[in-house]
Amino acid sequence: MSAHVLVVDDEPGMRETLADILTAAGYRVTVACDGDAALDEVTAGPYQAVVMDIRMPGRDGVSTLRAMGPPPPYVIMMTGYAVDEQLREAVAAQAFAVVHKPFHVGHMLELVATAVEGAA
Amino acid sequence: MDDQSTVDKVGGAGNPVQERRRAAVPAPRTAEAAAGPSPQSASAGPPRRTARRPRVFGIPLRGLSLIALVVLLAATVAATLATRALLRDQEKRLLQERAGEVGLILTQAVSALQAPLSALGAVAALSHSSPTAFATVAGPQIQTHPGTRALLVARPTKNGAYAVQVAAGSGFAAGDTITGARARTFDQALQGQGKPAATPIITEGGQRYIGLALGPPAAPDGAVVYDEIKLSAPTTATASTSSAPFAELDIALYASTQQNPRQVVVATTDQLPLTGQISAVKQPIGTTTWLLVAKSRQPLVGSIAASAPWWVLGAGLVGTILVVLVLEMTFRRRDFALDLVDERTQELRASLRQLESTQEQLVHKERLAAVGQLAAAVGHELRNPLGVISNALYLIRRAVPAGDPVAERHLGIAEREVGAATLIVADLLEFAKNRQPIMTDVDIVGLVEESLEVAAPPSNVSVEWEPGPGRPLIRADRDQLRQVLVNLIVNACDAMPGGGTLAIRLTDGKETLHLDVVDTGGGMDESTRQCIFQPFFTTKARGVGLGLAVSERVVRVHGGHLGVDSAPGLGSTFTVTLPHHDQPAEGRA
Repeated sequence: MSAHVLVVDDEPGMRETLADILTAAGYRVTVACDGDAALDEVTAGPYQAVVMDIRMPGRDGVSTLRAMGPPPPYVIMMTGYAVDEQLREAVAAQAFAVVHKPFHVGHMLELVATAVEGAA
Repeated sequence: MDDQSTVDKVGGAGNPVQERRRAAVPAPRTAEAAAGPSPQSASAGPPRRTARRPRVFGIPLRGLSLIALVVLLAATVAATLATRALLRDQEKRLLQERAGEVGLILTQAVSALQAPLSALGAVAALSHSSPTAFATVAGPQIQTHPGTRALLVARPTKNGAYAVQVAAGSGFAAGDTITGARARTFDQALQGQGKPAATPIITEGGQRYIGLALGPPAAPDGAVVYDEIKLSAPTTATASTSSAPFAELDIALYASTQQNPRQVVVATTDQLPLTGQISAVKQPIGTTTWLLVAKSRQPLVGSIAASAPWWVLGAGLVGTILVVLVLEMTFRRRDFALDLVDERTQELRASLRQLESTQEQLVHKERLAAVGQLAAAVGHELRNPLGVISNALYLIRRAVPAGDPVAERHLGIAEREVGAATLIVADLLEFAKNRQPIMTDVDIVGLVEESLEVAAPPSNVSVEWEPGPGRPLIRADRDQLRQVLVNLIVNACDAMPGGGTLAIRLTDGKETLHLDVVDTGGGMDESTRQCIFQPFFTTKARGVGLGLAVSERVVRVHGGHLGVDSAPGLGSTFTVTLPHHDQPAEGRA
């Protein structure tokens, strides 16, 4: 059974392309459009890794991250325009990694692989 | 690029937020500086008005004061002279009046003398010069007027002489011959047609006499009646303070038309002849003319009035000085005030200029800050779509058959351009926001390889990558460090437009890690090398000029150092040095 990865982003472009990339890499991918949906999914679970955008309308990424734990699952935070404060909070809330968009796909796949390994 | 040049002028290095903070600090200093130099500039200001001024007795005076001084002095002198002339005039008139009064009295006295003489003459005529009748009238007259020497009637004889017909008193007897001055006077009386004639002063035997002769009709036909009087010493001095009339005058009566000292009938002073301010009036005594001379002993106008000219002069001088003083003071104060106004105006202008300049600077910096924030916001917004495109390109590459040259070429182009756009955005945002690094353990070898993939060198550049042994880890912010590497690689490739070799060498020491990025491009001269890390400095036609500035700062914040070695024609070597142990973030760079 391949690992289950959750992709959370309010932007459809990022959400869909990332989901396609992870699917092509062999993962089982579920998408969520916002923080609340993400929480529902994680509760329903289980997920080996989560890739989540920080800036989202409604409940933002860091708040969702906190709500997922403690301890949170392996969550890779993505950011296009996060402020320092949010990044620090993400780190403090034990995000597995923080990656800036646009990210190197190879590097992202490495991170997901490491997270899944860790979750196993 | 306008923004670039103006920012350089302002000397702004650093993000707009910091710029604003830095701009706030110098403002008070420049305001102080505006106040500071002004006293010096004032002292070197416009020439003071007192500098150019004519001087009187060494005191600088204004033209107007000088004119006022001259005019007032002239007026004072004129007034003084006028007053003196007026007084003199007044004095003269008063003297003449008084002298006239004296003359009147004299005339009355003569008339008084004339009356009894006429009576005597009438008696003589009626009595045909009867001695007894004559004596009857003459005797009492002599007694009444003790000064009378003699009274007589005389008739002309031959040779101009006269014979006394009848006489009373002393000195003359009937039958005496009279010659000389008396005879001349008798001649006059005979021709006088009733008007008397007076003799000059006749001195006989030490005694002075004077006589009055009267001819017909007062006397018998062809005869004269004559009254001779003894004269006392000429001078009867009266004190000027006595209440006697005419005590204020020196009077001298001459029995001649000139001030003949031997003909002084009577005088109130012996300082004869009278000179100076005198009234000399010819007094007719019948047909004879005497001279009445009068002179004032004291100012007839009064001593206080007499000193009027001096008062006028004094007052005039005092007034002149006062007026000139007041004028001078007024002008001086006005000049002082005007100078002060000039000074303050200059200071104000200088301050205003400073203020304007400072304001311009501040506005400029505000604009820059606003632009910076806008740029950052835009940059942020661009990251998402760039990320999506990057993902999509990856998926397209997977979908396209491998080795398809067309697809390969265009995918490559697209990937490179996305990379370039990403770098621009990343440099701009890093410069603007100066993000604090999030330290993780970074595989530097993998990072270099990823960077080479992202900033793929063109085909005419050969890449020499020497990772060295091992896969060292370094404590760093992965994304920031990648940005540095991508910038260095892109720079190196841009330096070799005609192709060349890009060499990347990794040297891992115990304390530090060295990474050299070497190109075989044109190299840089000294002046370029010194400016290469300045923000907005670029030698390329495109590009903002932020890449190296941002890279240098990122490396510095990581506790490391970014340096360059270059020489024209010999290419460049950029060296990144990073410490192995985790450096505490040394605050904002």
